[in-house]
Amino acid sequence: MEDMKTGLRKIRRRDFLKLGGMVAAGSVAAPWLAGCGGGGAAGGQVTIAAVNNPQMEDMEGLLGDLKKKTDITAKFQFLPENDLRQRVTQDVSLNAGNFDIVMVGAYETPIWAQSNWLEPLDPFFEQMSEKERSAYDLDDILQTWRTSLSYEDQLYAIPFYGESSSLIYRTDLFEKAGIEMPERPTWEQVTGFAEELDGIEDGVSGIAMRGLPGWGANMAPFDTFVNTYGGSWYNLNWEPQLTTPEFRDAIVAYANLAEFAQPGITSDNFPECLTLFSSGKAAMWYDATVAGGLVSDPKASEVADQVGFAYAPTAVTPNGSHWLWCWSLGIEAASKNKEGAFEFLKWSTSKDYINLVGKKLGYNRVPPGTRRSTYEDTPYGKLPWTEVELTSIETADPENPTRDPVPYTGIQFITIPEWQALGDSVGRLLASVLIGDMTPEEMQQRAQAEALQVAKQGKYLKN
Amino acid sequence: MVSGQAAQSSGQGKTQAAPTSRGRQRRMLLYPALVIVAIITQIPFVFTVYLSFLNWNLTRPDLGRTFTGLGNYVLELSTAEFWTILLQTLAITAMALAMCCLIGLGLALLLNRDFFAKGLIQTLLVTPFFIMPVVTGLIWKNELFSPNFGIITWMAGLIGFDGFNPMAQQPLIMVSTMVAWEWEPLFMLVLLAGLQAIPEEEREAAQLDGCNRFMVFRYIELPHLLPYYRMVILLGTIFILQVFGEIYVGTAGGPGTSSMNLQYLTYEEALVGTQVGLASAIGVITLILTLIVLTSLLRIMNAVVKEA
Amino acid sequence: MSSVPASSEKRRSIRWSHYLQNVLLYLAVVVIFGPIFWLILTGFKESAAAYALPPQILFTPTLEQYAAAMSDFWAPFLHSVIIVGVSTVICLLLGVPAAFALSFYHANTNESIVFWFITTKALPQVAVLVPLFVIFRTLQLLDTVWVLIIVFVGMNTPIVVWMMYQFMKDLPREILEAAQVDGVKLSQMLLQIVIPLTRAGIASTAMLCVIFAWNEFLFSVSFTSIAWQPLSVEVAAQQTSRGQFWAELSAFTTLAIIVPVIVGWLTQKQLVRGLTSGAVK
Repeated sequence: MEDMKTGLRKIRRRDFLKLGGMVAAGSVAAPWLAGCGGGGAAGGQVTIAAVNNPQMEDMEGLLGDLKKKTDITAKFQFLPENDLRQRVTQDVSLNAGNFDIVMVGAYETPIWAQSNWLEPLDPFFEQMSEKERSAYDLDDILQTWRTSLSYEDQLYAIPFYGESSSLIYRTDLFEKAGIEMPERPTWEQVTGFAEELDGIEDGVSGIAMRGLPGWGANMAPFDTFVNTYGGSWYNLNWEPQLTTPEFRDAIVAYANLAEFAQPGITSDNFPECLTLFSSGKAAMWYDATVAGGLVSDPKASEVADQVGFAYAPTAVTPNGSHWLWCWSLGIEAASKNKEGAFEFLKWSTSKDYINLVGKKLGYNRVPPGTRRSTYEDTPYGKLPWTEVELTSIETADPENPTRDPVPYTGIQFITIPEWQALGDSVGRLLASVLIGDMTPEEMQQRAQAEALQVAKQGKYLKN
Repeated sequence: MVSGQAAQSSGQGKTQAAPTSRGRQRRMLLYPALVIVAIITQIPFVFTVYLSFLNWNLTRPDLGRTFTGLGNYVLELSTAEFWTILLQTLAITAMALAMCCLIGLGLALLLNRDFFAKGLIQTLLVTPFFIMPVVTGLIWKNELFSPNFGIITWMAGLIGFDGFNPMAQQPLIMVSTMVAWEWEPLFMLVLLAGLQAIPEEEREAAQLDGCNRFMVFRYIELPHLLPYYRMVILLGTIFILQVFGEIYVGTAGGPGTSSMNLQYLTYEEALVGTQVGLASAIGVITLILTLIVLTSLLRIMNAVVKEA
Repeated sequence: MSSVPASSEKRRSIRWSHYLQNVLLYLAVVVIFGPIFWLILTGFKESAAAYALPPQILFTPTLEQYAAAMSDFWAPFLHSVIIVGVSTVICLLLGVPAAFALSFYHANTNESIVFWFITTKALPQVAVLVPLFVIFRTLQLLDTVWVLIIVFVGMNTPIVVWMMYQFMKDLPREILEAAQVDGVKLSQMLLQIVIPLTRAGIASTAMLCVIFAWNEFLFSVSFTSIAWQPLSVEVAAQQTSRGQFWAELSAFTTLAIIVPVIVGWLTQKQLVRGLTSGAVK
């Protein structure tokens, strides 16, 4: 009897699960059936794989405008940068076509274009009417981007927002110490400033810097050090150049500066540094120009009206002293709705979109760094950081990133597929140097070995 | 023995000969699971082994897929870093298991009595098991041990401990604590069950004989617990050898490669380096290592249990 | 020996040890549950208060983080419920009979088969990632509800088999065999005798399946994109590259762990009960 009762209780629980299963089966059928009906030509639905930066999330909120103008429904898959890149790489390289639009950086675009994983965009532009073309004004998009996002003279992606790197600093702390920041400082000067300002107030570090290992994390600023100190990764014969005195200078400079940087630097990337600077715990911060808007927003930053902006510091050469990065939108070659995808691309990178963001959310939130008109014709151009931002972007030249000629392009990365692993690896070595586990010479030796293996395995080095 | 005879002597019911029908019943019950699991797990496994003999860089389609025999294996096994990471994998597993065995035992002993709010306390102690590994990583990295904003960092600062950054200074230990935090509830529950399974008579007999608390533990509870330890250690080992989320979010394998395990190394090769062939080889090596560890553990623990 | 003073001494020392043990337990709760409690609390804070030091225990609570988290929450939550629910049911339907077959019917290969099931979990997930991706892409199952269900069935059925095998090894054979002699059909025996006897084991095994599937990240992020993205991926997606937003992240994470935590809380006693019946030996 007892068994029966408890048995019944057990059966009821399992029935509940089974019922859930039937409901599940039913709800599986529904979208499957729905999918049979919809989709198709321009209009319909597009799926976008994107980084979940604030600008992209803002876009998600404005999708009603897209629907109104083009009748397209857009669905986003947001992921943090690393996960996104891996997920999308998997998708494009195995031709899965799960996404119509992918967010790609200046790094991936030429590489993926070469493998025919992205759809060339010129044919779409040619199909536009005169009126549409002049309204869209492709030439308004900064030349730097049109060059870096092209492969063999074909455009493969359109920038959604772009950045370079610059130095931001606390005007009040500089005043307190009685020092002045030149418009174009050198790293030697900056290290001196950092030393003076470290600890000037309780809990304030001289500078906030990225230290988290990663090709897009600590290697981005570090690579600009390598470039501006006269170093490079490979010479024209693809022989690795990591044991040169110039490369050592870069390591030493980075490590010296790190002595006046925030504690625990090796766990910090952009978000952590942003938190530090915005809460007043750093006197300077060398990072993306995009930081300008974020630290000047009184709703998010405690130091919003005490920020000054200087150009990225230099050392031996101005080449490659500030980086170039954009998040841009490209169409997967395996996409099933390319017309719809292009409509989305046009909408999200148009002048109208920029003004839409400006009016609805405030001009400090527009996606920066892509169009000249953003700076010249909208209130955005009057904001304090935008002059440094625009000049930096326009003077960053990925085709000439170093003092001496090199066989690769790219300022804070080198545009080969193997860079991700190499950059990650060297980034880890650099972190070890920062915490004192390794000397610069050891790092050079090991990095050189890795770079050599990459050159050989990737068949760049002919021998 | 009994079953065979009983079945044969039954007049009604089974019409076939007893052994065949029992065999058929067994197969009928077993084969669906066997076949389905085999298909889902073994086909990809065979594919992985095949891939491990290739050089295939996903982002270099121009280089194609070339056959390299044991090339990937040789490359990996001759890299010093690989062996370090292998040792780190074992270290994390051993440390986490040790912590779980001790903490789980302690908590089980403390819980094996009646007291106010027992249910609530047990429930609260069990919660870490249900937290996603990535969330554990976030809690350790941001909430507790962030060098600038972490609560424990702040507490360390209060007692004069500056520069407190265990995630960078002792990453292996930190990873082990994350894993131990997540898995001690299971150990606690299993060992608690073991304690509660001890018949009261044995305890009473021991106390009548004049045993103190410690002797009761040493001679009665501990031997009873050995089979339970075996079960939960085996289960834990399979999972802990492969922890990923905690490392991914918590330390990203760093600093350097000092908190990487084999699973993380495979991830780096497969998804960052996009070297599918090499990653597959590392995977196969990990499989072999896991099997060795499992069979050794099983043999050791069977021996220990039998002796008790 | 004098009776009254000695026994009251003993009672006092018992009481002290009782208090001490209670104190240790409360300490354990603070250390073990504390981080989770803090996570839940942080979800109620405003953004800047979330990382303020010294940590704010008293603060003006706000529901805005939870409200913001809700919008991103429901769709992936539903996906997770369906995927995890269906896969767990299938795991049980496959695994429980298999465990019974291996424990009740004599065969030389039984122990090896149980061990084989466990070894299917020894291959690291990342190593099978690309092969599985290619297979699922070919079968056009990517980003459907079935891909993760299939994956989780493959992942968790071995656990069901192994655990239920432990629980069932100590079922009273005589009762079962007598039942068979009496002509009880196999299905009846399972449903009316075996399952009720092992219901604690089934409940706790189901709990493990739910937890492991709910929290799984690697396969979930690789094989789904928009249509069927589960909650574990959405939690990761809440980390942004351009800001930490701890308060929002905490709120979302709290919502995400509610289901597994509650499932766990409800079934943890079953695990103890199931194992206490001496099934482990």
